[in-house]
Amino acid sequence: MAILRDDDARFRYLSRKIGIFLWLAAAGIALTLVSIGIKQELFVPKTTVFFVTDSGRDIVHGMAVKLSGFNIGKVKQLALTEQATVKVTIEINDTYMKWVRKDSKARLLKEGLIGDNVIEIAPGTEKTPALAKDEEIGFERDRGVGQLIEDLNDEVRPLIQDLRNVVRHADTMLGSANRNLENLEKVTRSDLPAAVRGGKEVVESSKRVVDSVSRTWPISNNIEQPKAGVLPMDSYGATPPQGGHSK
Amino acid sequence: MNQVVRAIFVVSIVSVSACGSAPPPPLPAAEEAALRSDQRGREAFRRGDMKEALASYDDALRLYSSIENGQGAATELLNIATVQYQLGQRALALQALDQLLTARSATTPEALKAEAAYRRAVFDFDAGDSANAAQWLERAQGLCPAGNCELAGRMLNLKARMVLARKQLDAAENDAKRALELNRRRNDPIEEANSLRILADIAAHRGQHAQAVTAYEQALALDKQAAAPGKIALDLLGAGRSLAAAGKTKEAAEYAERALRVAESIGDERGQQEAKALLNSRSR
Repeated sequence: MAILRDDDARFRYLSRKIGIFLWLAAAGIALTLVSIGIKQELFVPKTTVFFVTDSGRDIVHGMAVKLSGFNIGKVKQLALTEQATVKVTIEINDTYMKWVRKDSKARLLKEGLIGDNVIEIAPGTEKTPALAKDEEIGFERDRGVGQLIEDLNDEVRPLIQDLRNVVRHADTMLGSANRNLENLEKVTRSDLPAAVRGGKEVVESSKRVVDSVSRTWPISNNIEQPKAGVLPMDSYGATPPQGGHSK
Repeated sequence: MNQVVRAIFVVSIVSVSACGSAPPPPLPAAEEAALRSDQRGREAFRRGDMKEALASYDDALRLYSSIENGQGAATELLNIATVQYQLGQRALALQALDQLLTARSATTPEALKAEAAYRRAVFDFDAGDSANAAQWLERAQGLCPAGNCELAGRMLNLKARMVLARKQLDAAENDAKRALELNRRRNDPIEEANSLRILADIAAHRGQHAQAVTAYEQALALDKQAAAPGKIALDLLGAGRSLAAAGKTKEAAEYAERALRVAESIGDERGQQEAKALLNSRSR
């Protein structure tokens, strides 16, 4: 005995209903795949061009290719050549190929300080013809953070050296002014006139100011800690101030 | 404009990086006092006030010893030896150097021991004790790793002088040429001038007077740049002697007079005597 009655009204046209459901499901799946394809620009006509670089460092498959900050394509393939260089093939949407000319340059750069690496295409000059399929485009790497720091170091070093020289010079000037005043005192063998004495005080307080400035953090960070120095002696046994016959 | 932006950027980075690191610790009081004494000593030495220099360096040595600062104490012993030597107290100078050379402190840098051995060699050579000088120089070279320390150029010049004193002209020339190259590479004009003067002395010994005068002139140019009057007197005397030996008595006398004036201005008695001897030899 059948559990359900075959003549139940709900089972009428069952096979047709199932057929329609399956067709709708298949159409839904196909629509989803098509929309993904559209989203992925699978159906957009593209042109492949390539560049050659010494190293494939920081370049990966699928990496975005941009022009003026807009995505115009991606890295399609990386291959090692016979000359041990790397051939990088990129595909660019045909719509944007009009801006990619024979004198355009592809540049590997980082988006922001810690952003992703991208290939940025610099548009070429207007008079130059557009790049054709499978043609080579020029390539260069952007200066990395390490190189920037190195450059910065080269710039900063002379500045610190200059700062040191200025402080040392100021110290020497004040020291010699002090010595001159001391010598003057010896020559006159009497107390210095009030004006000179005042001047000496000014010099001494200026020296104290320079001393304290040179000890002030962060300036002191860039000034070498003072150390006791050895009086020089050359191969003739000479030391300043004599400098000649050793004795 | 670009330059200005770049400069502002660099300055801001410098400021930020300076603030980002911890301030260096201040010097301990005793070390600061020792450093002040050392600086007083150096100033006094520059003024030519050797007694004041000696007292200050003694003070610095006492302070560095009190905090077991091997480097500071070794530096002050070298300075005391130098001042004592200038005062004519050779025995006391050697005593200070010996104290440093026999120091067992692990904190005494080898470079300062090498400097002490080198100075011992200079003092002994100056006193005519060539055998001892050679031994001390060898010891100094042993303390100079791969002959590549700061002292290397000075030591080669001293060695060349010692070999020249033994009249081994070829060996002396070899050492002096090596020293010249090294001193030029190290950008040490004083020692470069010394190397040239030694080469000039060698040429003069060989009777190559024109070559000698050229080398003395080169040394003179460097010594003038360095404003080293004693060395200027030596160069002028050397050139004068070579010109006299070449029979150019008038030019020789001019050099001798210049040397005499320089030696008088710095109270260099030995230089004055030699210049006068050269002038007298012309009049004879």
